[in-house]
Amino acid sequence: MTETRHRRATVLTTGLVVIAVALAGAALLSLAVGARDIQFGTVMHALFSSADDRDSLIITQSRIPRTLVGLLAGAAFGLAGTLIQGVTRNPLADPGILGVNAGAGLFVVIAISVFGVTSLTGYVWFGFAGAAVVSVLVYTIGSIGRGGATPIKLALAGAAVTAALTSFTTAVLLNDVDTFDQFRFWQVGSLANRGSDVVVQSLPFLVVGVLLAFASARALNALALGDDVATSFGQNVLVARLVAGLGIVLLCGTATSMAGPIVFIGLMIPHAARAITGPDHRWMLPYSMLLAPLLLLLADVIGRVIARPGEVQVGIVTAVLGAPVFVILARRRRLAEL
Amino acid sequence: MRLSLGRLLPVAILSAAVALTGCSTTGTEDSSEPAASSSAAAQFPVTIPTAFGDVTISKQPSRVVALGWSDADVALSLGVQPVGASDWLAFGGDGQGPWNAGKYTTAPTILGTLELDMEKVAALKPDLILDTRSSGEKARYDQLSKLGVPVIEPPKGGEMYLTSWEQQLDMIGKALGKQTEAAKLKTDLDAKFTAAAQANPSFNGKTAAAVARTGDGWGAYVSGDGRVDFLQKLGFKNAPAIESLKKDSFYIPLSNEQLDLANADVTVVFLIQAKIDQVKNDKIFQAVPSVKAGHVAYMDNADISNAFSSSSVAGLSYAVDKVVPLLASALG
Repeated sequence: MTETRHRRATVLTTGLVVIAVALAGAALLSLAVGARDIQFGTVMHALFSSADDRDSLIITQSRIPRTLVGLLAGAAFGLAGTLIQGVTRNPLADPGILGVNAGAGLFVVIAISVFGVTSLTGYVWFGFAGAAVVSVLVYTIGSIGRGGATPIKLALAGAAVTAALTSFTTAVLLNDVDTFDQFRFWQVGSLANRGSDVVVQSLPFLVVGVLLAFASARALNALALGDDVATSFGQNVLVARLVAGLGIVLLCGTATSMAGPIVFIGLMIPHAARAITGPDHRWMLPYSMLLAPLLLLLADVIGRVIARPGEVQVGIVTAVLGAPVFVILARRRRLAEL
Repeated sequence: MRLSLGRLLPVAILSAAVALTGCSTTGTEDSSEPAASSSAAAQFPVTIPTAFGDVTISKQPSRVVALGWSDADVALSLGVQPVGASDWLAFGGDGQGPWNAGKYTTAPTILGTLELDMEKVAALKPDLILDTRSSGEKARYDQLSKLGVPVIEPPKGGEMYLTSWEQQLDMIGKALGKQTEAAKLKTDLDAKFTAAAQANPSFNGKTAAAVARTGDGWGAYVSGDGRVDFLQKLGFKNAPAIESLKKDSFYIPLSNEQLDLANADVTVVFLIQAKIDQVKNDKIFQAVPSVKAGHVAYMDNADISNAFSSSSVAGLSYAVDKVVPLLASALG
């Protein structure tokens, strides 16, 4: 018994290493491939020197930041998706279900429309504040009444608040062509034209979010058995949800501000992870954290080369690549295996 | 988060990319203009062909509602004050740019743009509705035509805000009984371009790259877009490397890795939902040879970019005054 568990751990660890190596490869690919052909030697040279010829500038000013954004935002979306599906015990939950994206979206619209913010570094704070405010709101609404914040009540409150916020966002956009235009770019999801400042600014939030996510792993396993069983195991259900919820807000809010609401990745990746690891969150979380940026970076690289001299935004490519995989996964496995 | 994209997309396309599409039109102007002496009232009844068929206006309108993009702008240039107007470029106030400042003696009722304020429109009791540069959607036309007054929708091919400034001027001139004035405004603007080109012989045959930094990234305009047409009328030639990318759109999105395409004798930068800092701090763009050498003109002044976006006869005339010196100094 312990031996099989041990062997399983070895297999899963090996799998994790393989994915990590693939991710490193994808990151390298993201540095080496772009809308402009740059020789691999030049890429390497630019990485380790401070040359300022055009090709080196493209590497240092464009490809390095966008690769970092892809890695960080991808990891955050993957983790947030796994957390949200665990917390709500809903296999179709994505970070949007708690209203996080709608909140971030509305605040970004307000930032553009009312405060005239045009830079991504400015969006980050608003997106983040929106995610935080709205998840507190949803949690409060979901907690009202008997039984406290059950998964179903949370999902319903999230859906209702999302609907309300989205219509408010649409109302603002309909009356403000400028804002709509700017928002629409952000909304599709893109890794392009982000500077290293966005990465630096987001990093602290992501680190805390990752720590909270991993701290929640055991609690999520307990929650999966139902609130009553979890309580009887000595798990404080409320605290567990709050910790995971905070992690979701930090991860999803920050990642959304960095790259736009690429919600799909947060829905799909946990399923892919679960297909490999089974329902144990201690494995699902690290797998999601590595698989999501792998998909995101590969999608971004493809988006760079299929529409030269322009690019296709990563949000679009991710959906095109991910959807068939998701359909296969959904057909092969019973979804409700939480 | 789902927006009603079908409704909003036209405007997005419009203001992001092809705000100004002066598909150079010829032949919309009748050479058989009425004699200069003919009074406005004598020009009626007049028939104007639109995408929804010929519209006949029986007598000179006195209460004009101007809903289309820059329709009120053009009416004012022709000496007619609309009673209601849409403020597409979000100028605020009476909805006019600096080139039309003070032309209203009675401020108009400001009406919606994408969303029609049908009750407000009806309350104004219009006897003519101008919608010459608009989406040209049937639903919009059907709603407006219920009021039982002539509705001037875009000409065929002018749907999706593609009505050129010449077409717009021509249609509104006819509708308002100001054909002579309209013809003169066109001649004057053409003459202004010619004069500016002659005053700046250094423009002649030089290559210009018209690029835009949008909220999303970079792009370049090709011939057919009003910005490029504008530069061409001043004697410039569109940068061949960009022109060769022309397909079915007037706007070519560029990866920031392909910014070398912006290299030309002069690089003209338009800002759309972007700030000048984003361009000035963009090390890749600043490394483009022409930009590095200072042969770059930034259209970062809001009045100038609105003048281009208006694509109205008065707006463009204003743009000639403001932009020519910028181009001359950029060319060095």
